[in-house]
Amino acid sequence: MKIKNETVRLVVLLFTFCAVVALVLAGINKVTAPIIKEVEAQKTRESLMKVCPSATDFKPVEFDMAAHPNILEAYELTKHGQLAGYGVVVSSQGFGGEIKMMVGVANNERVLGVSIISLSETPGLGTKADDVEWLNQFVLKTSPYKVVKGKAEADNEVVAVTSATVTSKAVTAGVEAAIAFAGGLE
Amino acid sequence: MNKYVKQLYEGIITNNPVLVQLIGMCPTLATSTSIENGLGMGLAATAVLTCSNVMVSLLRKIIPQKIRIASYVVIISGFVTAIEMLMKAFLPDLAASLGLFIPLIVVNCIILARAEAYASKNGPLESAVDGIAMGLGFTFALVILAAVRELLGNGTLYGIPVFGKSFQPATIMIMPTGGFLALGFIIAAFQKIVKKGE
Repeated sequence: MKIKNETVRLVVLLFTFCAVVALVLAGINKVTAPIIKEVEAQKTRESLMKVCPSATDFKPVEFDMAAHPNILEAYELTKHGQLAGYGVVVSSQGFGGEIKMMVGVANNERVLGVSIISLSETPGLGTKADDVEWLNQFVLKTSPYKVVKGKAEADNEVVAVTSATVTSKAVTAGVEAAIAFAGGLE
Repeated sequence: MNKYVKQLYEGIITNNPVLVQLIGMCPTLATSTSIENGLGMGLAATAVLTCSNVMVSLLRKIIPQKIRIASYVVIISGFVTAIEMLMKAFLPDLAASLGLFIPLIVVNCIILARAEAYASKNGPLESAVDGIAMGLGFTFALVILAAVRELLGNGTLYGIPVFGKSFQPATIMIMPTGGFLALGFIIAAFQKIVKKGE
């Protein structure tokens, strides 16, 4: 096939390239999409197990997204059919951007565990908030939390990560939001 | 065979894309905060570069001069998207840590530069070797830079702590400032060594 008009020829050629590339990608997507979904479900399961190791099963909770803009996902955690608590994925505004975390909240609104899913805080300072020992403070202390520097005196005081008060406050705000949200679910 | 060895040597040492040609600076600085990220980025870019070089070379007589850049970009972004989907499925941890930088391989100027300067003028086999050589050169530069930054900025090498607990890491090294500093010194040292070898 010989096309005389040059513009038409260029358009047809470029369109063909795009169409072929799109077809190939569609094929790859068909293969990888279910695997990616499985990997993501596995990740969710792992982070839920981290914040509530005693749970044996979980199922997603439906909620009004518009009313809770910073709640990304919520799961009902059960232990042999009995409600053990909730796993809530919260987003909070940190120093360098969004901090995403999974908070496990028990029926009695006690925190079962906190784990950071992603954060883009200052490397070496804010990133230290992603520390099991530091995050465990939320389990040991009781809400409403107060971020303090240096040493905690009352049992609601959370010691801030050194030189990362903004990050510490952001994580604390996220945990509080999760508690409030879980409280509203019952 | 000798020709290909020479191509590899040029890509990695005498005509290294990052340390000599000074192209691909953005991904270099952004992903060289740890050896793991640098290596992942380097190898992902090598894969895309090799595939796109071969494809551009095979199509070099079909692609009209006037729409060549648009065609290259379509080919490159096709491979990048494919690699992103494959990484997400089979290497989810690496995909998560490289994040936004995988789709940005599309605009890695090393890939477009090799398509334009080499693959569009040479056969598929030479182009494949050129892709591997330039890709490895990019990976090599990234790993060296990342090693320096990770060691000084985080006190670790490939995630393994090398200094005792008393070591106070210079956080600046894993921030953008440290990236520029380290890159400058490494380029200077590399030029000195390469010049000496001539």
